[in-house]
Amino acid sequence: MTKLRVVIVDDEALARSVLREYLQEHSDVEIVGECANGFEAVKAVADLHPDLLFLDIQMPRLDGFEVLELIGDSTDVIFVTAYDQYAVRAFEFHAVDYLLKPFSAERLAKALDQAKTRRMRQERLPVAALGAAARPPGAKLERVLIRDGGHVTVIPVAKIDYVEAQDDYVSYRSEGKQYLKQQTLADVEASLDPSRFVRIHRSYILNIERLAKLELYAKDSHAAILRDGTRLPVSRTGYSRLNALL
Amino acid sequence: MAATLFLSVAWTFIGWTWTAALELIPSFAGLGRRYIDQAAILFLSGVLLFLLAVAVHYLLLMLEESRTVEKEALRLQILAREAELRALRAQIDPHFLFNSLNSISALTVPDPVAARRMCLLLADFMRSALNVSAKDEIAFAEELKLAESFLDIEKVRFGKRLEVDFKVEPDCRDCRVPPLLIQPLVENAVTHGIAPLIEGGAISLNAVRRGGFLEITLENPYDSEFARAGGTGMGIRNVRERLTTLFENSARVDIQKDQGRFRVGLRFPCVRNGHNGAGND
Repeated sequence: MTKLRVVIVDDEALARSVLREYLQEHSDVEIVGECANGFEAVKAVADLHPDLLFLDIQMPRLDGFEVLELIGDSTDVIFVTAYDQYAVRAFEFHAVDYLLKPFSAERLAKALDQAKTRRMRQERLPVAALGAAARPPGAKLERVLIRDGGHVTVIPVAKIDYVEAQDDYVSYRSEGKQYLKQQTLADVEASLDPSRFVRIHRSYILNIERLAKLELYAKDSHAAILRDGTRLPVSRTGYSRLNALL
Repeated sequence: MAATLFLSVAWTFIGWTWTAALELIPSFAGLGRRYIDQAAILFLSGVLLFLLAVAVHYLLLMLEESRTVEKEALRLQILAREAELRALRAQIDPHFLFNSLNSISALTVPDPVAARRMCLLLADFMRSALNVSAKDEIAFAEELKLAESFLDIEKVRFGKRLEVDFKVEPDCRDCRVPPLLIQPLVENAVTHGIAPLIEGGAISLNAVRRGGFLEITLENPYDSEFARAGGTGMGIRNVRERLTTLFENSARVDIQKDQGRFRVGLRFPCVRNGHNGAGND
């Protein structure tokens, strides 16, 4: 029988140790890694391909939901948290299993059983829905996370110039570089602060702080000239959105 | 309505009596006849006068009432604010409580002695926090002790990631301060400063007495590169509000944030027990 390969992710050594202690009683579980922050977790998933992650929510650098966003639904996750009312509401709503610190060995065993059942049925975590539901209502995205293998780049939203749709991806332009992420432009638009980012075109979202001027370049259509000279097309609806904001 | 009728009749009757009395004086003879002519006017003016009096009376009553309602609303507002502040002061962060309990649970098997010590630390902290939050003011030394016992617990949780460096001059210790004044700031320093840092860092507190003022500086590193929004500024706002209420313009709260270091400076008059006779312990 193959063992369930798990990775423990928590920034507190004591919190990791109690999980390790409980898991020792389960002969069908093998701990293949322990991580103290979100970056290590993303790297461990890319390198070790574990079956299951015990994922703490409050952590330095990347929190549990950001880790989930980056690793996608390839690995099953049991969330662990001390107290987080929004997250717990999201878990309940999406029927995702979670452990509240402190938890008993029995509670952990139950969570493990459920994870094994999900594994057998090949159920996947509703990653996108969870990430959106777990944030406090009204909270807007503060930074964009891009993963390249085990490496993570963090772009604060203030440093985004514009976002462009490219087939199944979107491309974030920031400080002269471009970063690809598998996402829809509609999702990007919904997650950004609408008072700072405007959908100027079917394929473009612009950080209005980068806008230098608007030029009329054909009947009914405009071009946005950015501070660095970049020209972006502006559709008619995009133009009225911009006007409403400026 | 009945009252109006009755009073108008009475008014007419008084008029009639008065006329009858005047009739007794020779030079006023013949007045009665004229009175009979004007009885209707007299009656009507009585009605009008009474209605006017009633209207004025009700107007005054309403004015008085609205002023009372306004005053009461203001009083309730102040009471609510006070209660809110008290509740905030006494509040224990649920993250802190559950994480501490988790540390105890983790220590129980490998290190029972440490687990018991953690239980005792937590009990001491909670008891002191409950004690001081019921008071109007405490000695600065007592507030410091509370912050230190809080940090002792957090040190168990964070291990080497949390260092604490308190430098307090002895003549600050008996200054009177509102309870749980710096506690929320120390909690913020852990939650928004140390916890998001992979390597952690040191929380340092300096307190000196200068020219009759107590000057407290609390400093902690924070993750300037990856910082998320962090706190809502509630903690600082509360401290500022409380100090302003107590000392008005002579209190100052400064915030500095540069190169990965966060610094809060508090400066307010150091009142000692006996000087203002307001001590209550």
